[in-house]
Amino acid sequence: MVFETTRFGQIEVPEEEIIRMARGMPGLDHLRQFVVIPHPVQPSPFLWFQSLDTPEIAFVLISPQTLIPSYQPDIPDETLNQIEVQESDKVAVFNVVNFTDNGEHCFANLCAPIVLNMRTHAAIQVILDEKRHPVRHELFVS
Amino acid sequence: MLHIVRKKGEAITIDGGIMIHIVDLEGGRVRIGIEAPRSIGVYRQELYEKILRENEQALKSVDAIDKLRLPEKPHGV
Repeated sequence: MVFETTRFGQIEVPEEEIIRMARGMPGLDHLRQFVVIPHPVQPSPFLWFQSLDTPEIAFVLISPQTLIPSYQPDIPDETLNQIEVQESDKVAVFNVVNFTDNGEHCFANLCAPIVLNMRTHAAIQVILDEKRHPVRHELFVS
Repeated sequence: MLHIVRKKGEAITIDGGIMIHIVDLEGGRVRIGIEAPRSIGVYRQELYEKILRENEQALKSVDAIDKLRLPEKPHGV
């Protein structure tokens, strides 16, 4: 299927790569379809989470596995149920990135990761315990 | 807004599928038990709003990705 996006122009997304949010992200309840796009400038730790409903909406994500190896959040069973995770399914976790205006600092939201069922491509932004997982974890501190 | 007076041990039912129990009252605080379908997200309002604002702010800030000078080492938790 072909979608319009502000940042990437017209993109073609195979049906099986469309990510469907089981529940809208806080503040963005109406946006239910996204696709993950690698950052065009490589190498980069960043991915884009492009809305397929609203062309101008695109988040920057990181995959915490390599960037923050100590980040091992426990995803509640009810969240896994909502994205229909079965025993053999692989689950991917991503964090939303927030930049300061001048690009000097960037933060990953460890409290509210996006959890993706790699088989069904159902996803959800879950809210975890803020005391254990901060909303703003600074990346690339020199 | 609908106001309902309840005592400890009483409950409210919403739309047949959600039950709010008044579990305990002490010193100006109330302990609430919530029974809801798994598809319903139940969060403290202030945390939900914090995540909502963080999502909005993240969307506004994405253009700064082009100014970012990478990296140094990632900062472990």
